[in-house]
Amino acid sequence: MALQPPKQALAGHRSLLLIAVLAITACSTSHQHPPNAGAADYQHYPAGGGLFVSATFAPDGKLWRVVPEKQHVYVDYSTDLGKSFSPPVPVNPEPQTIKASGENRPDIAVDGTGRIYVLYAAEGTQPSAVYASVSNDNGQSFAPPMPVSDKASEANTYQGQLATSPAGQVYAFWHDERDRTDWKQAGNAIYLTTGNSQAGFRPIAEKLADTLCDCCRIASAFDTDGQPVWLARFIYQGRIRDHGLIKAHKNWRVTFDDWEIEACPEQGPALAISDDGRYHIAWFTQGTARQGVFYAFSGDKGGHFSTPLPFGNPEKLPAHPDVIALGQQVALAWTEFDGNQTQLMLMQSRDGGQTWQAAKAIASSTAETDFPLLLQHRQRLFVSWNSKNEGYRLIPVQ
Amino acid sequence: MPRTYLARLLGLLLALSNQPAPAASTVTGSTSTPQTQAFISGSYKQILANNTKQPFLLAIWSINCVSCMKDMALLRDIHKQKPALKIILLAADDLSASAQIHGIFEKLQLTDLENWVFADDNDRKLRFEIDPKWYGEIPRTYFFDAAQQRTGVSGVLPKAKYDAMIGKILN
Repeated sequence: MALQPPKQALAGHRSLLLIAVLAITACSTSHQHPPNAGAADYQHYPAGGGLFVSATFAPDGKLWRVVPEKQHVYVDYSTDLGKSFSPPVPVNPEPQTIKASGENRPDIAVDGTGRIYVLYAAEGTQPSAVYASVSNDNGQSFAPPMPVSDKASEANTYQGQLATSPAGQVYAFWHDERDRTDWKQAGNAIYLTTGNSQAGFRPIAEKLADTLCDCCRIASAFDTDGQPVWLARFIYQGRIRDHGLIKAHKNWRVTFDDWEIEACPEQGPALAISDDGRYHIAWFTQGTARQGVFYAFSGDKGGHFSTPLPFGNPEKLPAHPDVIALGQQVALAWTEFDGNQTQLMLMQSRDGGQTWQAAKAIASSTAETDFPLLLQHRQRLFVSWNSKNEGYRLIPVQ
Repeated sequence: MPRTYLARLLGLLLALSNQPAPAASTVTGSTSTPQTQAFISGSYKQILANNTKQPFLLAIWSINCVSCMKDMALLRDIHKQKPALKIILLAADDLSASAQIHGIFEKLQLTDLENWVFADDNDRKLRFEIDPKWYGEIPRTYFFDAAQQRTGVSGVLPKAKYDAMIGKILN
């Protein structure tokens, strides 16, 4: 999690001015194509948009984004697969100090009734609070944001995330410091609440697990029984930062890399569950057992996992993997960096993760980039990727 | 990078410094405090060029990193025990954090150390110039010997390990 988006926002503003000029120039010379998806998407944002953008498909096929700036969070949507977006609608009418980073990004979800939920972190009574807001009018307006935690005035909350179940139920979960008594001891708790039928979230939060790595993002997916499952970096034996699954208030360790470190990598794991109930996980480690980014699957609901499969070029800092599964199709997306250029990498399996095609670069940037996020809409997969110069890109997984 | 929030840091800082909380955040102003220098592309080479033929430590940290505060407290102890050993601090934040950086230096009595702060939009490029194998986790400490052979470690180490690594670069 991070406290400072400002330099991205400020620098992005400069570069976006240039890109806006280029976009206008391009439009004047060619009328054959609509404005391309990219930095032009943010030219109408008051402060030039932000880097840490989240997106989700609604059941009707609209692609909804939540875009953080320094003092406001905005929502917009696309009906043409990310080529153009609607005018941004502010979620918070009053300015706040918004906190956004790769691990601590705002999030957006649409439930089974079309209600739109947004979570984001901002300064509150405590230095950080996860705020929630809801739109009941298809994103035309948002209710005044409120802290999602029932203890937000007493303890920091951050890294709020949303997940929509196959039945349309929205879950909100976040890192919560309410149970900490000794600041020298590392480890946080995850708390959870759900969207209710009256709009907003139920005010009482329940604890899911504790002793999580303080600054790593939590992954979630829904099992074939409709129940949520989480994958998080835990702190085992007070010092080892490996991963564990959480389901039905039980958690158990599933990676055994033995990364003993008193620091935090800010690299949360990824989780997907396919229709056949197979769990797919991807993660980063620098443990003694292995180093790099890895994939594994489980056919017994996380009881046992396949031998970790390394992927990515270890010479190019492979990082921030995401995973998604659609039937037997499984896709991994991550970034690599060669000192100058960041490449968006993709690798696919057609047999549920047993075998994999060669990894390929599908996009690149020489500027600052966000993490890649994998999305599904009907029977298609996409990578959602934002970068400072090139702007937002929604890239179909071919 | 490990990041957490101000309330935790203040609590930890108080625990580490054994001093009462300041009435307000302190900022730079001490005449003995070296200016924070902007770390941009090329700065790492400049640091190497400025420190030939002497062992030194380059410690990378952040104002938002609880583990880094523990690390900085250890560095303070090392600095007191071995004032001749040069320690350079590099904050993986940005120039807008200068006041907070100096507030932490004053709290931890590290105001006399050479210090830098990231000052390029693309942190990843700066990190790569320092170490193409480093993923950005902090605290990150490099131990340089007089021939500028270096060892980098991530996370807070026990004091005995710091002492052993410092012993190696001083020999």
